[in-house]
Amino acid sequence: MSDTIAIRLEDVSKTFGRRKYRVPAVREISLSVAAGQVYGFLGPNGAGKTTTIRMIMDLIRPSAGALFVYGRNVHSDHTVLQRVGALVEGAAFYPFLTGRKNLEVLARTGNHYDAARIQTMLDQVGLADRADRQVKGYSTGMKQRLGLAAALLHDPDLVILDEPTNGLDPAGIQEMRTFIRDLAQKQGKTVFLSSHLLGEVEQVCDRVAIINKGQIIREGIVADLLAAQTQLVVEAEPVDRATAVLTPHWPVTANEKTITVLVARDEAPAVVQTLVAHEVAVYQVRRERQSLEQFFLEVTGRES
Amino acid sequence: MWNLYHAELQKTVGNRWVVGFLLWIFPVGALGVFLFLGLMALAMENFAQNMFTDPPLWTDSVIAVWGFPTNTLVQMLLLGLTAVTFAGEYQWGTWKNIIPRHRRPALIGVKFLTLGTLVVFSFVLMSIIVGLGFAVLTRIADVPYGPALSAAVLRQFAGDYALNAALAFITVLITAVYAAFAAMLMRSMVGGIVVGLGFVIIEPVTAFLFMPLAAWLEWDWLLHIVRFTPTYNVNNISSWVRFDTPTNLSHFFFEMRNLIPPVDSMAFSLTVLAVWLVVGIGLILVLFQRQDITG
Repeated sequence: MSDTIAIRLEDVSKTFGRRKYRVPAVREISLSVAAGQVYGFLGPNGAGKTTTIRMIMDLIRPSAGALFVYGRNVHSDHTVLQRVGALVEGAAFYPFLTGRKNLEVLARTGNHYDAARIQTMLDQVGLADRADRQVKGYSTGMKQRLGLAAALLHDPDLVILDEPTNGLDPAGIQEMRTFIRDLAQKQGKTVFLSSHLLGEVEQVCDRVAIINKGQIIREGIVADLLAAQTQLVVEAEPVDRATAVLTPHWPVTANEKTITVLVARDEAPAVVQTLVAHEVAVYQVRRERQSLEQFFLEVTGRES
Repeated sequence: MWNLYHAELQKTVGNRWVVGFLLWIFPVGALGVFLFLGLMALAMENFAQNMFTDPPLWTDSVIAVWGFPTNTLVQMLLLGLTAVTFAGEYQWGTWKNIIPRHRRPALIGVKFLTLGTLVVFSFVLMSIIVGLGFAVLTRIADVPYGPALSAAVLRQFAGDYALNAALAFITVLITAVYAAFAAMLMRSMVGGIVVGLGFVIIEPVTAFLFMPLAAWLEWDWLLHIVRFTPTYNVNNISSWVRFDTPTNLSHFFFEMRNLIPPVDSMAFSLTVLAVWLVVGIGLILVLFQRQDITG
């Protein structure tokens, strides 16, 4: 049990501030991440993603609930975090030290100093030629790469990445995607990934949770979540009337000659029946697979 | 623990400008002063002779270096170094990298240990430079530089040196506790320095603040609060070390001498200082243990 579930959150809440200045950041969230999975943790800005990640890393104490990594409570059994590598909310380093020295300091702090491993990580993230320059001269992308090297320095079982593609160029994003996939598929690591690049998440994650206003509003296998909701593209005339009659029942987006309707799979016939009943001419109906991005925008928009 | 200490040392010393201006300035400054005086002595006739109205003693000049850390200006520099060491982790956003790698109390403890060893190293180096600097100057001036080395002199010197160094170290540590507490509370280097400086300035004058209140309320016991402040106790220990008597409070305010008789033993003062350090570091640990790292 302890090694099959990498992360377990039980009714975790976090409220910042006191009395009338209380701001709930996370509200009673529970989730489990199985070992070996690539788990996407999605949400709009301010949804509570980073607060949750910081609680997993024992940087923030939860107001209620408990967090477990490989079955051990992260607060009372802090040493379990030695199995975790994390890049939390933008890489940050000692600006006056070189990239290599920063990694040395972190490795020594974690009691796992190995000069050869540091060099390997610098090679892997493509920073070997700039490792001996001070970090204050690094670009955001370079810091992000160094952050990834720092997270993987001690060969952790669980890797937590909070917006790892921030500051990376398109080629860097592509590399990062491959890197994350390899972490799970080739190295057998568990990856907990928070990202705004939903296309990337859709491609690499087995399972996702969507958090909004501190609460998890959807959770499941990516394919199942997307299959549960169908996007119907209907070619109909007049478009205005079609939009008007469907809007009270389903989310509708009108285009020039078509309308897009988000419905549950078994509601598709009802859409057509409604249009026909209101004398809208239906020329074509086709089902399109919804992207994770569309799904995300739809569920977070609806919850808002 | 060695690895953790090595990591802390690496990042503290790696901050070259800060450590240069706030710590290495003491031995380097001493070296500069002696180089200047040496050059002047070589260039100007009678310059060296005029410097020494009384022949200096190497024992006194070397030990005198440990008076520096008790000077308010020097304390301000060390306060700055402590504030950077503690608040820097907030400002650079680096706590999030190291907290998951080690327990919080150890991370705080090692900062005090590293600062302590660096300060001791810096002032030991400075005292060696001062001792050798005077040796060179007295040689140029052709004046004696005693006392002559003997087992008894060395034994006496070692004892006095250790006592003075320990006293300075305690003073520095108390200053560091003020600065660290302020830095961790404010999560800012400047805030840590300003508030820490406030503690350092206000603490010795608490006696003065209590005097009118004690007179107005006719509560003489209120004045005795001064006996539990670090400044009083450092002075008391210093007085025992130098004159073998308790402090007469003349360094506070003249009237204090009449109000509070000199009674406290060195053991009393050592106990009070130990309590201050334990409570101060304990407060920092509790504060840090409960703190959310959001930056």
